[in-house]
Amino acid sequence: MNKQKATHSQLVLVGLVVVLVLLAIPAYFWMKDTNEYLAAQHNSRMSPVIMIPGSSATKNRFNPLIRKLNADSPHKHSVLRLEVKNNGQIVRQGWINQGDNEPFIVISFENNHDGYDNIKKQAAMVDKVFNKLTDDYNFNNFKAFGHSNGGLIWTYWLEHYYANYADSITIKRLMTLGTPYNFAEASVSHPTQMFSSFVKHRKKIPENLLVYSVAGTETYNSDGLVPEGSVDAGKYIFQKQVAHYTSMTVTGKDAQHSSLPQNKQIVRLIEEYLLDTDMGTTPATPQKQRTP
Amino acid sequence: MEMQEKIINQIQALNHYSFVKVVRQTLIMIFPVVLVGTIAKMLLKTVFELAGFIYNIANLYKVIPQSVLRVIQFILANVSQLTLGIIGLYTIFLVASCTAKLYRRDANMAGITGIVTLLVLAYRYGKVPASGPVNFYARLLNGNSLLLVLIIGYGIGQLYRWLTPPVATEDSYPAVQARVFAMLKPLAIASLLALVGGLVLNSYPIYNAWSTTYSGLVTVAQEHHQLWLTILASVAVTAMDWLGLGVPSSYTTMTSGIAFTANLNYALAHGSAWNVPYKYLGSSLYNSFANFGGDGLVLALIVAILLTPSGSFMHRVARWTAIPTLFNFNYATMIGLPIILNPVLVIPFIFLPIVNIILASLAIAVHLIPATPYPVLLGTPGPLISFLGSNGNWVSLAFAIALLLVDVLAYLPFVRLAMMVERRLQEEGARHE
Repeated sequence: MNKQKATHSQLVLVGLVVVLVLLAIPAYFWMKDTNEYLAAQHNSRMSPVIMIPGSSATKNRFNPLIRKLNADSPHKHSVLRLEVKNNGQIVRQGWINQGDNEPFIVISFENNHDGYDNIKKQAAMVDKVFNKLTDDYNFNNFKAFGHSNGGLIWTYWLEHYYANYADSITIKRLMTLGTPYNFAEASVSHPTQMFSSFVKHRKKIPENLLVYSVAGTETYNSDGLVPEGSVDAGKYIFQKQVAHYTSMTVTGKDAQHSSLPQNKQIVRLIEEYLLDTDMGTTPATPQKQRTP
Repeated sequence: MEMQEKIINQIQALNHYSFVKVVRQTLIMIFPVVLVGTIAKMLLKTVFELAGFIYNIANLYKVIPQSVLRVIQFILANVSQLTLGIIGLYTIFLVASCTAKLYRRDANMAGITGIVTLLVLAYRYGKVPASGPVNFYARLLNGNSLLLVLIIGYGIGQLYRWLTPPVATEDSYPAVQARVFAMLKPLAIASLLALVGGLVLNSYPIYNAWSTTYSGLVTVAQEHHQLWLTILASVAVTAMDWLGLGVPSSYTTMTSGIAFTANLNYALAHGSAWNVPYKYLGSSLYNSFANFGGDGLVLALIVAILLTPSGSFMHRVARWTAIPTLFNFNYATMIGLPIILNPVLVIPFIFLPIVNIILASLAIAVHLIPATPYPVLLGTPGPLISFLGSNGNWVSLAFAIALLLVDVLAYLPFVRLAMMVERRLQEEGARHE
């Protein structure tokens, strides 16, 4: 009897060793793969600008803006456009140049309608695309840019998805342009469901983020579509949560809601605040010295 | 030999105390429930979670669709919640009834009184009286308060001994009628005391201080890079595990924190685990070298048991819990052997991990092995952690296996002693029959 049981125990012991060895082999390959990826990501110098257009806009929404940004820069930013189709398919157009440390990536949606429910859906799509981007390109930080509802999608994504990446990928700056944080409501005394939810989950927004909210005004309180008060409501979401929240108002020519991305002043603001000065355009500094 | 005989006699004498006897019985009886819960938890954390060891090395994300995965996660989480999550309820029923039975009092009634008492004690008061779903302090119902539950249950059994008359063994209808009213007195006293205790617990600072002690200790053990603090905290954590005041913590691997990140960044930038800024980081030392089978090197204990030739109850427990323990889920082993409150195993359980940490620190200091800054997955078998955490350093693997063998050898005499005690108690039991 005793003899029999002892054999059982020995069998279990041998089994343990066999299981351990069998696990060790795939674990070894997992380790090599993972650490290689982590190292590539850690040592990557790429810091893309990921752009999301507003509702009713297509993947070409930012073409004039990108043209202007590239015209000002000696080092051209390459552009990758990703459009999410309604069936979940992601259509790519363009590419990221080898050695381009600051490419532009535009994420657009076939379903580009307005409304809070749709913003949630679009944020989920952004996350899917972002997840794929992190697999394809080993960047460890990026900048976000959103025009109109694009800013709302970024805000929703930050509050509900970013935590999954926070350990390995930093969002350095977020610039939103004419983003209606309280939709069409001019005053926060009438909070929309979306605005209340943004305020409720604001603690999820990373604390080291720099946020720039740019408003345009044609009249004294609106850019013709979005009330200035709705753009300004962003402070209740970001202020006292992120490192710095800066709001700016641009008036004059091209300050209408849809013209904002082409506005000369705003192009300057993007160059000044959103883009990296020391990356991507590495030769910029010496060249500037040569051309006074 | 004389020394050994003396120790065995002393432990045997301990077992004559009613509390010790009752606790032994209770732990054996809740073992099946704990085993089911532990296996469910192990499957959930290692096979069906994104950070799980098996999930990743077997590339299960390619095999299991997300929707199916979620269903499996729900089921396994439910099983572990309804077993480990409310283990206190099963425990208090058994302790109270075993104690009552010892004095020939009504065991079932005592058990029910135990459940009522624990629920009253753990009741979480809402802002409005009696509205919405019932809430309880989970900490009182799960393994984190096992010792407290054992003591309360024992106390209830004693109440029955003092306040109710002995019962006949037969359960005839009139006999049950007669004893129902006898139950009222101990039930009232126990629930009143629990009510007071519950009110005290519901004052936030007290509950907060109590509930953060264990996790605070774990954090100290892992976050710091001063060796003596790591060692001190490791002792405190294993001591609490042994007392039944903590559920072993290695269910979460530390892959965050400032020091960990600094180490990882250095390793990634330099492509090497040598010369990281915090070589003696608590979490890395503890997880890589003092974590063979979870807290207290339980895997070494299991191997030691399986190596000894004898068909004891300990062997059966060791065989049943070998696989969960391999993935560092050792709670079933701790209850089944038991390790909890077992005086024979307390010394190696608390002090062997420290020996491992010190030996590993020395090996790092003399550049025998590198630090272990790379992330490892949840449920990685203990002997592989330092190998994977150093990005495949073969000396680390050999060192970890050597360390495990040392631990097994160190556990062996204690295992033999435990078996002798077990045999002695069995003989004694047989004599009484």
